Amino acid sequence: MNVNIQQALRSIVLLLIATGLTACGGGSGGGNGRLNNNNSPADDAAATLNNQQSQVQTQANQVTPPAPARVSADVRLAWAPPLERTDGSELPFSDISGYQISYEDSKGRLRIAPKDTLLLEPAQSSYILEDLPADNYQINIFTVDTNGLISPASATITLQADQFPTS
Amino acid sequence: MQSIYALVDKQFSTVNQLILNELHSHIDLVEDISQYLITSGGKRIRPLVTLLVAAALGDTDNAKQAKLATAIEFLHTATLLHDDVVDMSSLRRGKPTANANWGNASSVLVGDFVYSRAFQLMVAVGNLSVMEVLSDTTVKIAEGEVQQLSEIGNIDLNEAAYFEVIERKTAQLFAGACEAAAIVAGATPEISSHMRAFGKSLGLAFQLIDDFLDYAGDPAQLGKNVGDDLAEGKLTLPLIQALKISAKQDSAHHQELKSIIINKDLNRITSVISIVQATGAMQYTRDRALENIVLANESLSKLPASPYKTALAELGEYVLARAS
Repeated sequence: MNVNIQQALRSIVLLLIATGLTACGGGSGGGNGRLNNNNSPADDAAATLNNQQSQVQTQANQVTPPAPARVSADVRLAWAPPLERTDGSELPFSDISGYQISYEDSKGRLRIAPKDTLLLEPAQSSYILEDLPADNYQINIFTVDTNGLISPASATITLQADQFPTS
Repeated sequence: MQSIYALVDKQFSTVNQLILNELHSHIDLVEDISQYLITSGGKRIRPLVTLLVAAALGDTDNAKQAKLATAIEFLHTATLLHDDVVDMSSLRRGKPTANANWGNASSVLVGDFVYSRAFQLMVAVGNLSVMEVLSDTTVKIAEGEVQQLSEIGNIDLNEAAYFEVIERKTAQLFAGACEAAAIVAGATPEISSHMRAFGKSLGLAFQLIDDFLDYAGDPAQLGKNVGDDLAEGKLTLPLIQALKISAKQDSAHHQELKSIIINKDLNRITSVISIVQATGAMQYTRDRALENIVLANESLSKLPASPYKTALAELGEYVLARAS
C-alpha cells in the first residue's frame, strides 16, 4: 500500500490494486475493523487542547501551540486493472464493465464514487475524490464485470486525518 | 433523505392520498386496522424507488405511477401484517403490531384485504406485463416466507440458502417494483431488466442491513427489539457467519452459540453479540451489503444522467448509512 501526499497541489495520491472477480455474496470481505470506535486523532487533539487551556491558567509559560487545523483536500486514487478472476482464470479487459470506489469516514458513513456516472470506465486508472473533508478514511475499489459479477473489495487503504494539509 | 423525497413530491402526495382512499372500507375492523397501519409510520421506501425509477426513465403519467407505487406499498404492508402473525411479533416501528392489538385472525384477514386492494390497483395500471411481473413477485415473496419458516431453527443454514430466502422475501418486491416502473415508463426490455437487477441488489442490501441491525441497532431507532431474529429462531447472515468462523477458530464459542440458538436464549443475547462481533461477522454482513450497492449502481449506470438517477444512487448510500 502506498500513500503519497502532495501538499503543494493540496492533493493526496493513494494507490489501489483492483482485485479479481467473484460472485456477489462470496469471496473475501475486505476492510476488517472499519467500524472503529477508537478516538480519532482529531479527538485526541481536542483533548490535548483542553488540557493545555487548563495549564494556561497556572503555568502560562508551558503552553504549546494547538495542533494545526486540517483542511479538505483532493485525493487522487490510482489503480491497475485486474488481470485475473479469483479462481485464477484470465479476466480479459473487454470483460470489465467498470470500477466503483467506496470510502468510509471515521463515523462509519460509507459513500460511493463516482456520483455522476456511478461507474468508472474500464480504461480509467485514476480518480480524484474532490474536496474531501479532513478525516480518517478507509478506501476500497471494486471491479464489476459485464456479467454483473463483483470483485471482493481491494485491500483497504487507510487515509489519516493528519495526512491532510493544514490551513 | 428529504431531498430525495422532494424530487417526487407531487407524485408522492398522490400516493399518500391513494393509500388513504384505497384502505377505506365500510367494515369497521378493516377501517380501524387500516388507519392504524397508515399512522404507524414507515418510510415508504418501495413506492419512493418506484416513483424515482419511473421519473428517471422520463415517465410523465403521474396517475399511473402513483397507482403502481401504492400497489407496491400495499403488497409490502400485507406481507408485514402476515409476517407479524407468523413471527408472533409484538412491536413494529416502535408501536404494538396489529396482531398485538386486534389478534391474529383480524391481522391475517385485513392482510388479505390489503393484498386484494393491491391487485385492484395493479389492474387499474392497465398493463398486462406489469400484472405478470407483480403477480410473479407475490408468488416469490410467499415462497420466501414459507422457505424462511421451514428453516426456523436450522443451525446448518448456509449463506447460499440465506441469500435465497432474502432474495425471495425482500429483494423480489424491490426488483418487481423497479421492473414494473420501467415497463410503465415504456422502457426497452433491456433497460427494464437492468432496473430489475438494480431493485434486486438494492433489496438485498436493504435486508442485509436490516439483519445487521438486529444485532447492532438501537432498539429506540429500530422500532423493534435487538435480537428479535434470534428469538424467532431465524438464522441471518451475522449469525451464519459467526457460526462458520467460530467452528474453525473457537470451538467453545461455537458450542456456546449453538446452545443459545437451539434454546432461543435471549437472556444471553449480549454473549451472542460479542461473539458475532469477535468473529468479524458484522463487518462481513456489511461488506456484502456494500457489494450489493455497488452492483445496484452498476445497473443504474445504464440510465441517462438525471437528478432521479442520482437520488436512486443516494438511496443506496442511505441504506448503508443505517448501519453506521
